[in-house]
Amino acid sequence: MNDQILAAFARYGSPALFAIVAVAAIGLPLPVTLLLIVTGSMVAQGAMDAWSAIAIAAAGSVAGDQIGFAIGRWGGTLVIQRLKHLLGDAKRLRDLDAKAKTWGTAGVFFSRWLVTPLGPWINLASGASRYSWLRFTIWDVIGETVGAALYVWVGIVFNDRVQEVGAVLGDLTWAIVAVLLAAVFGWRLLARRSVEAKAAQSFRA
Amino acid sequence: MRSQNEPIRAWMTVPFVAHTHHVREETLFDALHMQPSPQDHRPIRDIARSEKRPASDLIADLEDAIEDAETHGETLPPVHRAP
Repeated sequence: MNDQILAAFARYGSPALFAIVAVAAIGLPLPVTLLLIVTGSMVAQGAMDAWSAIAIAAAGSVAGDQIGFAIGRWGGTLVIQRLKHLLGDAKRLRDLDAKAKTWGTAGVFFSRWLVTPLGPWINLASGASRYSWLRFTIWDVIGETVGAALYVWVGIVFNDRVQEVGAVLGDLTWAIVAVLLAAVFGWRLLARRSVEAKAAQSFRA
Repeated sequence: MRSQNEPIRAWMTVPFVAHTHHVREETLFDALHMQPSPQDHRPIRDIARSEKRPASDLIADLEDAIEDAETHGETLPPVHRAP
């Protein structure tokens, strides 16, 4: 799969770059980090212009994110039911709605370039939780531009070691996701134990 | 060795391999018995398909040519382009 995606980019250039990052932003697991690093290497070789490469990659990602957001918002009951199944009951969705309002901006921004595997989920959840479209779009554009510029820049610097660097950054992204998930589950476990301890205390009293 | 750090893959184009391994494009096109062309954006797997050969054969030819260039000191300095 990776080889076919990268071969399509090598052959068709910018249109393929736009299409691949857009599809990945909707949720298909494609090697976008490696693709952007290869793009940076192409820039270093003089085969592409840095600013157009960053603009095309950011625009493609934003287009995919907007589709994800729209599916979450207007995807009908099927998507909402699936989200409910994944995220919990109506009360849980209301909690999610409140959390999206509080943490939404940071969630949208950091999932564009730092914890990218969470991006498609945050797009769907932002749409389903009625998060402000304007705020989502502003932070989406900023985050995707930062992400595209960062990985293309890495590709320019390490233009002759793209696979090595791509593998390291891919592993690093998943490590950050794992640490974040461990922190969330750890926090929820501690919160549950605290509630149970309080309940036991009031029962004894 | 650079070629061990950056293995040649079937998605790469000949100019891309030449760049990442610091050898002249002409050297690699010669190794594949092709006319040198910086505008040839075909990935190795597409070249292999049109030549009716397995991509692994072409990759082996490219690796041999790179090794030869390294042995004879015909490599190029790395490109350091300011971002």
